[in-house]
Amino acid sequence: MIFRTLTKKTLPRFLDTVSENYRLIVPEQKGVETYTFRHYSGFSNVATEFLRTIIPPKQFFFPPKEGLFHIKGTSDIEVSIEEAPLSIIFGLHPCDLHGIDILDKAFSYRGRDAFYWKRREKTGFIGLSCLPDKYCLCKSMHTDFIVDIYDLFLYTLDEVYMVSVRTALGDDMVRLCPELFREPTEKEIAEYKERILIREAMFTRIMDITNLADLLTLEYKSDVWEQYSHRCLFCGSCVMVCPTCQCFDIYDSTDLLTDTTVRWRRWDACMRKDYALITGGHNFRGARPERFRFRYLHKEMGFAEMYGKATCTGCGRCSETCPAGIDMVEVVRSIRE
Amino acid sequence: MSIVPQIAILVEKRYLDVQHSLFRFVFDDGDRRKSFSFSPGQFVMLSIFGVGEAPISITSGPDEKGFIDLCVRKAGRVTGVLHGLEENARVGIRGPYGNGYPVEAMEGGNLLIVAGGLGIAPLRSLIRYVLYRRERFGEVGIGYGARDPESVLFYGEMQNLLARTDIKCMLSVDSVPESSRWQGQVGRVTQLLDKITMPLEGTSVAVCGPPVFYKFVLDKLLRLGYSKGSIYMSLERRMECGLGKCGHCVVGHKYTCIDGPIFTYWDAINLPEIF
Repeated sequence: MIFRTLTKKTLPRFLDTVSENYRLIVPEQKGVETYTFRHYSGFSNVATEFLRTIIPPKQFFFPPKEGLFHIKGTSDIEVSIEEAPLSIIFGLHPCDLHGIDILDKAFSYRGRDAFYWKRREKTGFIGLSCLPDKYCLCKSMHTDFIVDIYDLFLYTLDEVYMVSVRTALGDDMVRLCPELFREPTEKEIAEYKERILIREAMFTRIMDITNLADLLTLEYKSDVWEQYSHRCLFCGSCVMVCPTCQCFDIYDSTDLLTDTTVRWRRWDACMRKDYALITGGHNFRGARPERFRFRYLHKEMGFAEMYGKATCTGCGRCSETCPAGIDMVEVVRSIRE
Repeated sequence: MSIVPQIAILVEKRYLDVQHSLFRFVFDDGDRRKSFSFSPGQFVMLSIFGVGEAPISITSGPDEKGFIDLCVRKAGRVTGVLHGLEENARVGIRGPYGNGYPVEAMEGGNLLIVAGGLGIAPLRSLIRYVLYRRERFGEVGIGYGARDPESVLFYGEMQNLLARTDIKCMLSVDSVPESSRWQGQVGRVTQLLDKITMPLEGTSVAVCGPPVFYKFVLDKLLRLGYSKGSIYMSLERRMECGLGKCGHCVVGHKYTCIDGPIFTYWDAINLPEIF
């Protein structure tokens, strides 16, 4: 890891150059206070002071819906693996980079998912520092800082970005316009340190996760799950916006005109009523409290390789998105009390 | 390890009863036909293109090469269409998936197999494994319970097992309609367990059947004194990928599709939402 500085005014030139060499994806403002990742279409549209996009970056490796293969009649299976171009996603905050790290583990646990990795392997990341708002929980989840996964990370200072160059790909990008980067000065290093303290002081929301995996096990039969399940609409919005939710559903559709079947996979939500329903009618998790609890257990104590560790990155999307106003912090507090 | 199936051809369809048939598939690809191997207790994902996929346990023995037998109940969308397929129909198969029974660890010891209803489907694979190398096992007991005489699956094969002297095999049905000429045992499978006496030491028990069957059989096995660690059960869950990714089969913190479907009773009882 080496550090360089990039003058803020030259960021447009840098991103322009990156976009000439890679497929560049950037955050853009969509609505009043909503942001979304889009293909780069000039710097004027890029958001550099934003917190969370509506949909997390997982969409670029694990699209909401994708065709796995198609088959005409029952002839031959044609696999739908297209060559992914080398892409760079700009503007990832530490929580989202942690989210990608968690998804990487999930999609390689005891066997790699070829469809995820064909895109993921061709994607580089330019991280961007941020200042928390009332939903940010990364401090509590220990995801407020990251030293890997990214290729470049830009820490916002007054006049410049302090740039961490982590990988050879990061270095490749820097070398596209070396004249824009220089050694950090002592003054800039001091300013970087000062910014850490300012950011620290801005975290207003704390979720106590001490012994949380144990508490969730002990409170498995708690009334809390029942209470929240009356409020929850089971709409699955929290799942769709979650950077680490990985569930999917597999189904076929057939074009009758051409007799061609496509096998799809699309995002699924464990809160849906028939998620654990099997042929014959038995539903292993049919009741609302069971479905509500399941998601919290998975987010806060994981399963498989992540068992015992939280798979929540504290990005705040679920709390911000929930139409019933259910908040992760509040649920965890209810369990603790 | 792919989520994409390979073409397989339905070469034989054997009627078992009104709800169940035995389907024999061979892979279209000759190399895959040769390379496909599995352990008893593993399953495949069967695709009917345009309809969907379903997880089905393998019913043939691992020593029977070149084909895959699946004993399937007509129960849902995919299996409903499957039952209507004619020979030479082309489907998709991927797998095998799951851990299967720990057959190598079971060798050298005694083995008690307890099946209820369609639970015989994966256990038939285990039985065939054992018969192929009978000398490697100590005492072998088999108890199979069906609802009524009409629903005894693999009746002919069961008769052969009942006749063998190197296996303690018993078959019973829960009830017999008046019109039936049933000569065999009548009663619950738990009653068979009183008669199939096995040494508690060094005996593994493989159990498979519907949820209510597990409830009674597991309870009975514990009362007979078997250790929870020696009882192997096969869990049924919704499965979509079979690869530990899609999330549907998660029970507690385990994926049924890759950590299971075979769990010891001890491991299973420590998972929440087990039944």
